[in-house]
Amino acid sequence: MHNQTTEILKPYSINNDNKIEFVGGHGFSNHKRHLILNREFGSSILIDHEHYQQLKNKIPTDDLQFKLIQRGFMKVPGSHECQSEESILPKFFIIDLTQACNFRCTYCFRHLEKESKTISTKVLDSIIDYIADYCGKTNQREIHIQPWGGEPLIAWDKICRIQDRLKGKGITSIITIESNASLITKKLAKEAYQRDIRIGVSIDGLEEIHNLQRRLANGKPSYDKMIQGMMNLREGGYGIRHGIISVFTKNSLPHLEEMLEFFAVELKVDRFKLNIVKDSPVMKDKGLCLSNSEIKDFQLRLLKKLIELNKRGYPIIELNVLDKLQNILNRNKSNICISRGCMGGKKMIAFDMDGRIFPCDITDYKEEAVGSIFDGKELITLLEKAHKEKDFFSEKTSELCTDCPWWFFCKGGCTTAIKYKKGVVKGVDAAECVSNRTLYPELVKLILNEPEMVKVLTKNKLEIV
Amino acid sequence: MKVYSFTKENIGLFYLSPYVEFIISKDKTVFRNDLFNKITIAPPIKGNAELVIEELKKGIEPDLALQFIKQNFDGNNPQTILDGLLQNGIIE
Repeated sequence: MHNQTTEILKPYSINNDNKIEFVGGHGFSNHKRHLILNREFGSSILIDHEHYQQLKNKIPTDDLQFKLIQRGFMKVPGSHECQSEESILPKFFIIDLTQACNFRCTYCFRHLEKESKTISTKVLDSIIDYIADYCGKTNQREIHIQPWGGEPLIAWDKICRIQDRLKGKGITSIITIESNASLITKKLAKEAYQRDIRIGVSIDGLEEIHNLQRRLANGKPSYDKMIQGMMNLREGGYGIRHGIISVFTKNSLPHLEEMLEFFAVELKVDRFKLNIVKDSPVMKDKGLCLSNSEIKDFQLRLLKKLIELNKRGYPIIELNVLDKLQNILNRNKSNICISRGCMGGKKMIAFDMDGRIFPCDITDYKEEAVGSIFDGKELITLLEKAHKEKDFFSEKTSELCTDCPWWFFCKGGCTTAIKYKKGVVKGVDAAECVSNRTLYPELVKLILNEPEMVKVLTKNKLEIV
Repeated sequence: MKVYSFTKENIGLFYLSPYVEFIISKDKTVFRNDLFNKITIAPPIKGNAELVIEELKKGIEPDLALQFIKQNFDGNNPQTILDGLLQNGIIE
C-alpha cells in the first residue's frame, strides 16, 4: 500500500512588481512526486519535491511560475482565465428508434413490456433533416448518433436509413449501438462492419448472472444467444474490436474478479465498460442496487484487478477508469456523457419517436422535453431557453461538494440518474459521488507511485515521463 | 500524449501543453488550448508535421525555440508565431 498525503494549498500573492498570484489547489504527495489539482477547472501539474516545496514556501522559480501560469494555477495581469463552462453545441444524438425488445432485463428503467412501437419513417426522416439543418448552421460535418431502444437492432433498416440519409446530406455519422446481440446474424455483422458501425454487446459477466438478469421476453435464458451474436460480430470483421457493456449489480459484486478474468482470458476482450445499475422506481428487483460501501468496494477491487490482469499480460482496460485518468491528466472530454459533469443538453441530446427533443435518454419523462423538431425553432434556441427555465440544468450540489477536489469532473454527476431515482432533479447523483470520491484518489496514487501503469490503463493515450 | 513530471532537469524546457489539440493542414496549423479555450492559427508546418509535433512534445530549449519555429513553420515572422504559441498556452 502506498502512502499518500493530501492537503489544500491556499492562494497567495508573490510580493514583486509582477503581481503574480497563486490561485491555490489540492496537493497530493507521495513525498517524492506531487500532483496539484485545480478543483474549479480540472487542470493539474506533476512536480518533484523540490518544486513543491518552492511552491509551498511561496518562492517558486521563474520556470515553475511559467508552468503554473500555463496550467492555470498562477495569474499575472493579462494572463488568460481558465474556462469551465461548456458551450451548448450538441455533437451526440440519441434517437429512440423502437420500444420493442426481445429481452426483459431485471433492471430496465423503461416500461416496455407491452410496447412494440417503432419510429415511423416520416418522423425519422424529419429528425434526420432537423439534425442535418443544425449541422449545416453550426458547420459540423461529423457527428455521433446512438440509435436507442428497446433493442435497436430490431430497427436495423432505420439505422441504415439514418446513416445513408445523413451521408446524402454530406454529413458523416459515427453510429454507436448498444445491443443485446441476440439479433446479430453473420449477415448483419458483415453489413454493420462494412458500414463502420460501432457495436457494443451487453453482457453481464458470467453466464449464471447474465441469465439471472437478462432473460428473453419468453422467460428463457439469453446467454447463448448473446455469445452467438458476439461470435458473429467477430467473424463479420470486428474481431475483438467490439464494445462490451456490463451493468454491475449486487448480484455481480461477489464475482467481480471472476468476471474480469472471464472478459480478459476467455473472451480476450481488451476494453469494456462497467456501469453501476441505476436505481429507479420501475426497477423490478430493488435488491440489485449497490450501497455506498459496496460501490466503494467495487471501485477499489476493479482497479486492483485491472492492474493485476495487465501485469499478468492481459491488456484490458475499463472505459470509466480510462476517462477518469484522462480527466486528471489533461481533462480530456473522452466521455461525452459525464466527463465534466452532465453534458445532457449541451453536447448530447435525444429524440423520441414523436420528434420531441430531450437533454438525454429520458424520453419516457415527457416533462423533460425541451421542445420538438416540429416547433419550427432551432435547436440551440430551444436548448438555451431550457437552460434558463428547466430544473434539469440547475446546479447540482451537496455539502460534500465544498472543497471536493473532483468537483470539475463530477459537478453533481448524472442528472438523469437523479431523475430516475427521485422523480425530480434535486441533490446530486450519490452513486457517482461515491465512485468519484473513491476512484479518483486511487488513480492519483497510481499516477504518483506507478506512473508506468497510466500508459497501460489508457491504451497509450497518456504517458507520464 | 506525454505528460511530464517536472524536475529541475526538465522544468526549463518548452513543451506542447497536454491541454492542446491541433489540426494540421496544407495552409495552416490550428492549435486549441482547451483550458483557456484559446485558438492559435499558425502558418503551415514545413516538412514532416508529425515529427515537428513530436519534437515539441519531447521538449525544446527556450534558447533554441525561435530557431525551431523558424526552421519548421512557414511565415516571415517566427517571433510572432512563438509569442502566439506562448501567450495562448500552446507551449508551456
